[in-house]
Amino acid sequence: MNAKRTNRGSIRIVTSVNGAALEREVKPRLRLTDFIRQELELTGTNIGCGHGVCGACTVLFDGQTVKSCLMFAVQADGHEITTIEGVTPVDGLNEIQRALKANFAFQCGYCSPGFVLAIQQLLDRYENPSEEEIRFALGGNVCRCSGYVNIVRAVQQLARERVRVGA
Amino acid sequence: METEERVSKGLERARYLGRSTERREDSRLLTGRQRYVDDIVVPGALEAALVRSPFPHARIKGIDASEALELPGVYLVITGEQLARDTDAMNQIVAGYEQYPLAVGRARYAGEPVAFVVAENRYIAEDAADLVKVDYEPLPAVLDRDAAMRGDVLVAESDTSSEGERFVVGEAEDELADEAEPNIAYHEEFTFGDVEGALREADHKVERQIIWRRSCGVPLDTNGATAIYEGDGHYTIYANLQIPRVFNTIIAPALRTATNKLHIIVPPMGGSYGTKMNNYRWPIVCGYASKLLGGRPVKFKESMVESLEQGESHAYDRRYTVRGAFRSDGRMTAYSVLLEEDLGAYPGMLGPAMTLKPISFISGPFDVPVQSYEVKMVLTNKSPQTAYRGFGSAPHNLALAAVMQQAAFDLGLEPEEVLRKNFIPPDKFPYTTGSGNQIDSGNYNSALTKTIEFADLEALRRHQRELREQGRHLGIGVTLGLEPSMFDYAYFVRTNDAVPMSGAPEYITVAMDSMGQVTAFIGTTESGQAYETLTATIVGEELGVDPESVEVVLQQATEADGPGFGQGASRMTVMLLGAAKGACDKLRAKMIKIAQHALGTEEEMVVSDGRVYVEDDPQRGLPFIVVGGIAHVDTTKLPPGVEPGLKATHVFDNPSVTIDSHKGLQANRLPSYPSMAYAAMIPVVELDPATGKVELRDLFICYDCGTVLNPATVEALHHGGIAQAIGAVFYEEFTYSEDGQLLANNLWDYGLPTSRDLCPIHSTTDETPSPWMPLGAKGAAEGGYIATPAGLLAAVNDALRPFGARIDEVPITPERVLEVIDAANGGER
Repeated sequence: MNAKRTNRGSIRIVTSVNGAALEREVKPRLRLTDFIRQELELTGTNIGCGHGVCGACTVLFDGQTVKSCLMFAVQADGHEITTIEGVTPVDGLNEIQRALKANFAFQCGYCSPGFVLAIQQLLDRYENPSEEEIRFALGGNVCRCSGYVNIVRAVQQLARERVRVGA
Repeated sequence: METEERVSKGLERARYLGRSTERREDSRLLTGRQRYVDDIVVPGALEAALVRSPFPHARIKGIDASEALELPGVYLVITGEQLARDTDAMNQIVAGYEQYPLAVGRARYAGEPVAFVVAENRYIAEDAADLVKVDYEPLPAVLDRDAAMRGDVLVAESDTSSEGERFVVGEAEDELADEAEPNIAYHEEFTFGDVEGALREADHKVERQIIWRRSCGVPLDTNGATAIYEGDGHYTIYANLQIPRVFNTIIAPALRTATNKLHIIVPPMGGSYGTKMNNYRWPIVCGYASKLLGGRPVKFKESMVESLEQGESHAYDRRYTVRGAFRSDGRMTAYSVLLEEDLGAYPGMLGPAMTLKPISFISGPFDVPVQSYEVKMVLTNKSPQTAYRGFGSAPHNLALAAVMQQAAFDLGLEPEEVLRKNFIPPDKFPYTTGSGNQIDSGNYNSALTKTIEFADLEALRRHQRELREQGRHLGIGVTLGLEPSMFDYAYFVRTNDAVPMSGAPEYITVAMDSMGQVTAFIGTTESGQAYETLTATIVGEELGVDPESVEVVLQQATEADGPGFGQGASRMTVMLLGAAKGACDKLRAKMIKIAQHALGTEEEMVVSDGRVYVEDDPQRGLPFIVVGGIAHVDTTKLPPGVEPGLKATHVFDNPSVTIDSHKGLQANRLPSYPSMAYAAMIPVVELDPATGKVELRDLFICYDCGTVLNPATVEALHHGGIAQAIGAVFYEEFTYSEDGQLLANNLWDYGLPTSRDLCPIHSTTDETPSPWMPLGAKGAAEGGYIATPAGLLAAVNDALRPFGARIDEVPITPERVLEVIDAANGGER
């Protein structure tokens, strides 16, 4: 832990966001979501319920999905955060995003950054997940538009494709 | 199932339409580049939080904000009293009621905002909100519609009560009793034919009371606004308001300014499903606060708890008493509906109209001209309502389907036999309903038969019998429900004579720039329907250019090129098609005129493949870049008398205005929905009688929304609607405690379905084109939600049949299932 209390009631943290090392002073009660969105101006992470149900604010914390609305910025001290901006190519889409687009998986898109990260973790864990495994793994992310049908299809398609090319 | 190339039947010869074109919007959404209202950063913006009433009904004797205002970083605390002095009340769609964005004098539901705290940031605003001291005098509250109608407690400010009105077609009726009806905002009875006579003479009568409890769209992106007062009555407002071109007429008068001084900007919304139609309160309060602060921008974005409590995020709280008259062969001879809607504490702008829409299809897909519809809009100390997908149609379909299924059970028929016996036959279209609405087209039996074959109903029933022998309880629903589209304003304002409205036109502008590039401008907001992709495809098809090269701009309030409502009532596809055809015709005509002049010919020319060329000699022509160049920057080459520029706007009038048979509906302010899509479905559930749990196993659906412009998009919209229906039927409920507290004020307690709660959805389609709408298209975005609840309830009641039990309310929870099983067994399990 590098966190140091400063004299203005703020705490100095050292963290890494999307591969870039950062040192910031933050208020102890600043939510991680607000740190990402307001301090770092990375607005791809969305706020849905704000109480840990919907997963719109999902980010990767040392590679694991977390709901950033349930964490404080100070907890990021000494850890690595990856947001949707961090997994998106400079131009174009990554393979998860491409599969989702090809399957018409989302409509309003508000939940989609969270889903992209949750799917990345799912595919890291399962080489060829069953429908049940997909549905279980994505159970922490709510989508209000899609009924999940095409999201599940996209993941299945991508997993099959990966197995086929021996990735 | 892979996303195979499925081409709409009516569009096989089209170049771009009818194909599953990928959504261009996705490149923004999937990367986090989309900017929703909360992502818009206005320099210097202050942030707000609400003080909300903890009581369902209380007099506000005083508000002391002094301690809050002493907190460093706090700028302002606004009360309802201030708003009542400095702003005008928001319009209500029922005459005689008043509402401000914050409670004035009395709080009428738990969670009603009573003060608005503005501070440096949201954290300080929340701290300060806790320091605002409100002196409440709790009053008795009424939470039950029967108690409300007895008048134990009066919800509205004055004892305003409905005079009662009767609308009668045909024979004269006696007048509705004119005694005061407490807490009834509006009461009207519509009778079409001798319903009571038909019921008396019926071989068989079905009567059921059906309860649909409160639920709603609950988009993850809550309502929000940032307002900047720019001086001299001008405001810039960012808000996720679904229909800014309609409700700027509420915001501007409330702020005591003119509609053309409001610059409303609506970024794409993170879901709406109708619910963001009424996000006009926050633009008003934020605008007022910004003015008080000399133009400092003020932002308010609801937390989810604020959103669920604040008073405009609930829908449908209905009790139906429905009666059907049947012949012994299953033919229905009359249908009667009494709807008692618990609107909550204020009528608002949308709840009342949602109770009236079903008059356009009282007996749904069934040929039953004798019908009646009585509606009582009851006020209680609960949250008011907003719009939700289908605008009141889903519960109506559910009640009707319950009657049809009951008749089948009672008469010893299969449900599909009763449906078939009563379907409006294909040769009766356009079909005139009891209320005079004309339905464009349909082949209900075809969709039903397709679903039955696709689901293999016979095998399902065999499986059901086999499982029953093993003590397992499968339930199979068989239903078909309508999806009305293309609304007309006239009935919206039936409840308020002071607001004359009818029709509902929509425009599009198509422009070509000096480089020959095409841009379309449309007047709608976006919340997931992919209007950019749709519009680019339509315009590309019309002008013969690759849709990928066409850019689309969504215009909102003041800058809109023409009249319109924007998204709602599953209307934009049809409206944009109609408008685009007209605009492209105009643009093409001008391009041809320019090209003819430039080439010195009067021969017939065509516009296609990026060129304007002579029809009989395609070698002779000009590329768009030359035509666009002449129009904009090389104007000496323009034909004499032709204005520079290439831009054409066309307004497509609502089809209900142009179809003669619908004019009477407007004159009488009855709902006109000239286009009806529909969906047949067979859901399969398994019921565990020990726990009351219902598990969804499969859902088969065949939907028909006429000619389909983008099959994959339409399919996805159906999936989403079905999921929301599953939520409403099994998981979602805005539960209230007996003392009037909203218990489900968060997403732990309000159960949105996750991927683990849904079953596989198997869909297929039919295409019966609309004879009235461009290309034969119909609305499609609401059908999944509108038609599905009826099927799900039917499936559960099929499973409950061996127990001699049935359930008459949604959501269907395990507790309620056990209750009805116990009741059927005389209290024993």
